[in-house]
Amino acid sequence: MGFFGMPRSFNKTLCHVIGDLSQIVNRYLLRDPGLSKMLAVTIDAFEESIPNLVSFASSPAGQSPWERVSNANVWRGSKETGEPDVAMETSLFPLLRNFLGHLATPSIMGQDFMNNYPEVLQDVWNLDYGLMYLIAGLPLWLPIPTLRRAARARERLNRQITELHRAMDIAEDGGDPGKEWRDLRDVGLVIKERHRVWRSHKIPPHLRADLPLLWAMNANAPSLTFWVILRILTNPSLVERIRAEIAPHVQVSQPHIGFGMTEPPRLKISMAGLRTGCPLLKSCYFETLRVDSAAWSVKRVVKDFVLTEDEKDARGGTKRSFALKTGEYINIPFGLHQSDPRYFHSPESFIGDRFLVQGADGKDEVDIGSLKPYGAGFAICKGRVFAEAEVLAFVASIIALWDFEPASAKGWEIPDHVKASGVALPKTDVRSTTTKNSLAMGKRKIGALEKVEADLSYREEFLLQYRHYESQRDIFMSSPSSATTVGLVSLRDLIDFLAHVAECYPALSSKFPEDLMRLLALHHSELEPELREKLVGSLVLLRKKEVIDSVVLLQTLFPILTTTQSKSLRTLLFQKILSDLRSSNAKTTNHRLNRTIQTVLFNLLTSDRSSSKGIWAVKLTRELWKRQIWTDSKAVEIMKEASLADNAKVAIGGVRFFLGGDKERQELDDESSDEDDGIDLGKLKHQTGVTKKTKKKAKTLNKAIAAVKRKERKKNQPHPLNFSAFHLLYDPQGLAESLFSKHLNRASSKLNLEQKLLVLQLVSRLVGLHKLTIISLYSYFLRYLTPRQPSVTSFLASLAQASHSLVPPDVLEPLIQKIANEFVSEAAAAEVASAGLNAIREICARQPLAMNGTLLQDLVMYRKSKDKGTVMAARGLLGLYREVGADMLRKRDRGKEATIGLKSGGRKEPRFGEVEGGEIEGLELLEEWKAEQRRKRREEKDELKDGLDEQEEEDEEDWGAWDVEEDDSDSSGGWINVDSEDEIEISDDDDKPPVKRARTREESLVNGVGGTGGKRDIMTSSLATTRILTPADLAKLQELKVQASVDKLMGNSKRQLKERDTDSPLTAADIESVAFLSAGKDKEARLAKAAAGRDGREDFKSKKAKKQEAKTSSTTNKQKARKKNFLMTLGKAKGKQKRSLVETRKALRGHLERQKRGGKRGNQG
Amino acid sequence: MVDSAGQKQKLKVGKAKPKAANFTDTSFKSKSIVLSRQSLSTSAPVATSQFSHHVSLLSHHSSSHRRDSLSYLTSTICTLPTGSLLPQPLSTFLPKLLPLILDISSPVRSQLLDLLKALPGEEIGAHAEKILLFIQSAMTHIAADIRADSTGFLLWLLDVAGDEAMGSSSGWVKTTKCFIALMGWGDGVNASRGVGKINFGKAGGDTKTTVKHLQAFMQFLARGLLTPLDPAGSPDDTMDSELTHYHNLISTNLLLPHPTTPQHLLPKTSNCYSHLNLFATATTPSEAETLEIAEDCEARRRLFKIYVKIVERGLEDARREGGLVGRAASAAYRMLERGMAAGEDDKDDEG
Repeated sequence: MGFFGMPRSFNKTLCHVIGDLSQIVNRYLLRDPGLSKMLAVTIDAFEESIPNLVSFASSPAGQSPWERVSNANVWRGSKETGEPDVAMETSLFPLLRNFLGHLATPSIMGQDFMNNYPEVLQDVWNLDYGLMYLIAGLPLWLPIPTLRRAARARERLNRQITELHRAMDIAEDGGDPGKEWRDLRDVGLVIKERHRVWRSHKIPPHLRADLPLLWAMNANAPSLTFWVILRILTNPSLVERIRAEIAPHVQVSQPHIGFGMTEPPRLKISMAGLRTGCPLLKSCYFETLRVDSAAWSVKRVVKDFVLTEDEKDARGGTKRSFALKTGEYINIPFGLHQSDPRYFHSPESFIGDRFLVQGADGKDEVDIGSLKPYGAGFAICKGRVFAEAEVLAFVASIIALWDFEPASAKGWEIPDHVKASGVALPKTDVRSTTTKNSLAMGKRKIGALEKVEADLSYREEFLLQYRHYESQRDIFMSSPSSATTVGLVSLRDLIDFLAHVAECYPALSSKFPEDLMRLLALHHSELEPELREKLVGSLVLLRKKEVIDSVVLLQTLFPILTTTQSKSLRTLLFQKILSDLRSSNAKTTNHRLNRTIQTVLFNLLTSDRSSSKGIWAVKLTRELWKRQIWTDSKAVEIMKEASLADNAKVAIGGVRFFLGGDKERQELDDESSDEDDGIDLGKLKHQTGVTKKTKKKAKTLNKAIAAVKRKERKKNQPHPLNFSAFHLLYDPQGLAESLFSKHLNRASSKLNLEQKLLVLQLVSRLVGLHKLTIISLYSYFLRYLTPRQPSVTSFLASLAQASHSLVPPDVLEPLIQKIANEFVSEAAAAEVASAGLNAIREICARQPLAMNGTLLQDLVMYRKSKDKGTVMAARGLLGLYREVGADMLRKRDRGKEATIGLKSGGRKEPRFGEVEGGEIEGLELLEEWKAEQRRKRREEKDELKDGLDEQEEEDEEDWGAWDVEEDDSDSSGGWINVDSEDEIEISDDDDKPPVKRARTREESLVNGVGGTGGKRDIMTSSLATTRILTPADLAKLQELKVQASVDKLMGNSKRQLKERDTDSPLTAADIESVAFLSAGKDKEARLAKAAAGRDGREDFKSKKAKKQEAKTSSTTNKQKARKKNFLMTLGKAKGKQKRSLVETRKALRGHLERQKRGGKRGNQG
Repeated sequence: MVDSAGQKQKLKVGKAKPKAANFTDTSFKSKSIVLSRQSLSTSAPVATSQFSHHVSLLSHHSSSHRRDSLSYLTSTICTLPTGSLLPQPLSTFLPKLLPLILDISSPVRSQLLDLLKALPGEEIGAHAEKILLFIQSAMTHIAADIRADSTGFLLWLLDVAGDEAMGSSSGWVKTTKCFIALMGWGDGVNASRGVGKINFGKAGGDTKTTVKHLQAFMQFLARGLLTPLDPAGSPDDTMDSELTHYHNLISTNLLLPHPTTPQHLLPKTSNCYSHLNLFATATTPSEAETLEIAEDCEARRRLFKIYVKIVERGLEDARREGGLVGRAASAAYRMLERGMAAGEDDKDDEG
């Protein structure tokens, strides 16, 4: 007993007591009534605590002491990867040892003991580590840290136990042991009994040796538990078998509370079942004892005897004998036997069912054979039965309730042993990840994420909540403005809850949406903002769950949008309305809904033209137009109404839509189609071939392939017919007239200049595009055409846009005259003149007849101007009239082509009101090409044979090439017969009567103003009317057109008048054009302009320039000399060596003289 | 600082900053200063201000503060000399009290009930409708103990201002619905649909509270279905004493022009045309429920017919449980039968 720190004299006293003490131990730890009592207490503690083994708390504050010492980390898994919700990584050994220690120590020593001395467990571990040294009786001054630590721990523990006994004494005497020992009733039975014995023998507290008991309870069982669990875990099949075996005896349940929530799991352990019904678990226990425990006994020889070696043990054939004398001590290590292959096959490996044998009744039983795990003889371990039961129960419940995974990827590793007093300790750390055993209790459900089933059993709860909502609502309604915050919060929460589950109980909550709508409609102005948002959100949620339909929702929200004062609510409503419209039109166009909403918007605009509410109609329509959700004429009609509104904001909103809506739509479309651009499929494929193959990369490739395929499919699809808003207008003339009369030509119009310009742009666009006639429009322009008018170029552009071939020339003539007078003169600034000339050219390009000869000749003279902008503008005008009215020009200005045309009579005069005949664009090119081909073939054939039946052959060939692809010739075979038909003259031979030479002037006029050569006209018309153009022809036509445009760009063919697209607007920038080139500006402006181009170029300056900027002077002569090339100085140095004495003297003197003078030229001030 | 010549004046050490050109002197001299209103009392604040202080403390976040304030108010009101007015009119501080019916702390609620009982009963009638709203909310509250206490408040209200409560816009039908939800008797809308065996203890709570609820329900039925003049109803009723007085007059003195005269006299109660919703305010819950206002027992009986089956089944189940619950349930059942039968008797009489 010396090694437990008791004084030597104590042994004597102990002899008196030991009988009583061992009786107690026997009673409570070995035999049944006491043993079961003890076990019951322990099992209760297990059932209560084992679910708390791991708390999954990430901060140490929330963790239990055993988690803190075991270095816990918490991982949160994600659902997609199938990982458990939450897992905790810990060191297994400290976790289990401390957990069991925390469980067992209070049950023996009482909770107060544990609370007063939280370090008890650590001290016990330290004592255990050093117990070997203490037993060996090493002196304490030896420099062995383990020994010293153990000695100190022993001292502390003895002191603490003494304190406990002192307190128990005082309590026994009826005194107050102090506030630290408030409750001594929960001290374990064994200690209580022992205390009684100590007391009855009148042994003072400091001599009451209870430390061995404390050590015995904590040293072996916890480490043994660790080994058993680790040994079982390393073998997954063993885990499964043991779980199956213990399932009836250790039951795990997790009761549901309701609403999808669960309580913490509950554990029920049946000890009797574990002890008798689980042979495999028991076998594992013994096997662990065999492998991992190293018990040994120390015995005193009480009688002399001789020990002789067995035959098997004898080395070299001689049996050795050992004589043991009385009084000697012998040490019997059981570990040697346990690892002897003669008794246990493959002793170093762990075999779970090593000790399983078939019993008489066919059931598995445990036979431990010659294993002596607890020592032997009189001093056999007293607590073996209790320890066995404790370990079995603990292991079984841990295995049943928790899943352990090795934290390292290598799997479980069995650590090496450190020899301790009894069971070995692990040398290295074992990290494990602990999760709940999902098989036992099922996944914990999260109510909000998983839809609660519409179970009838929740019906009453729902009803209760619904009634509560009703009463809360009524309370709120009784005084909406003076509601308390608590009431508001509860009402909001209730609304949120009901909106989420309303779809499950449609009958009960049928009035709920109506309620919300009424609440919102009546009180939206005085509701608390958060509640208001919740109402809107709940309504949208109900719409998403299809409790209410879109029409109802939008008809509720829209009136509020237009009436509310709150900006945040407006934003929210607008966004919700828009997203709802988008989502209901996502799969197919919801015509009914669209029609309803369009009608609402239309009525909103027309009911009160002067209110600003219409702006919401404009915003909504524009947004939906942009996203191509509304593309019909009804939307355009809404915007038409908007542009005719009295309210300036609404009107301009409408006008802006017409001017920019289509462009916006196109841009959005381009943007969305551009996003897949830049995928280099080949590169991606190459990369996946070369680089590491991961799932992620494969996914990326698949995505890219899908994107490219989608894009290709899209490319092949016909372009959706997106008519512009202008083309969908029902009555452009009416709109243009009313816009003009309402906003422009009225004194009471409230629009400012900028807004008026926008309206003017729209009106002139309409006039130009649809060739409308508004005569008063042109006289309206007259008063704005002075150079001093602000943004006059916009007016000029609008005027040009508004002129077309059907405007009477005499209406335009005064305008042109005025522009010429006001703008184009030598006195005017250069850019003014060029703007005027450009404007005149643009007008005349649309209506050439508006010009008279004298003015034209006058204006053309400006091409000799000094200013470049003016020159270019004048040349443009000249070029235009060379094409459309060369006879008005002076002879020398006409140019070669026009002169020839005039002379030959091939040029025709344009007349007012004439309309160009329709033609297929580029048909003449095809015709030309065909003629060429025919000629070539004929030439070849002429060489070979007579041209008798060439005609038929040619035609057949022609029809053979019906389609672009030759593959489907069999299907087109039936078409070959067509050529025998008489109605259509398929061939067009050249031997027609030469009518074209004899055509009259009137005929030629039919072909329009911009028509090309007269000879071609007749031929094209005949080609289009006499032949069916095959797909192959059309393909060729396309090709020729592309070729022609390329030629034009490359300058292969003569310059032609730039053709203007009537669909694109004419802007002020076109009128100003190159005016910036004019030299009219002063030098500073020009310099500034040049400098503007050099902005942000500082970084690219040379180093030298940068250095130079910092300094004021340039480099000195010294600097230059230092940097001078060595080879250049070489010649001079050589020359110096060859100098004669005289020369040297001369040089030196010269130097002196120069110094005196102060430099070559002398210092002259 | 710039003087008139545009020169900047220099600041000098030890001298005050020169005044600005547009400086206005606001100092003045006076022999004495008199403050018109000031409190010079050294004693505690007057009872009125203390009362209002405690009223404001009713919304304090600490439950013990709320309870203490309530107990102060209770004692103040109890110790008032009879016939004197409350320190604050009821209409101003009742709205502060009512949300406490839904208070989470149970001592606060019990103290509140004490306070309410201390209030002068005759003034409560005007606020019955509003009080009822809060009681209904408490009856359906998610917290079980608030639900458990709710019927206590209802009993008090029925006792003090039963007729006003029954006659108010949401008094009869909505409270019935709340009772059905409170007792967990299934949904009040769809009577024909069998919800199956209802676990009685589930929504109703433990036996004690169930008994309390059942007793309150019985009182509720008695108040609602039985006319005060009915001999079976509560005997003491001062409300219709005047009517009986007229009856006596008619029987004794035939000079009065017509037997229905009292019906053409000015109404006795305030806001007796509330059901017409003349001012079309937000207080009207919804159109459907406006129709459910039951002025007299006859109308209440008619409206109650929809719920009779549910209630009967619920009471039947409760009766089968036996014990205290069973006894209370059978008492309520008898009351129900009597109340509904009384209507038929009346009809028979008319027929």
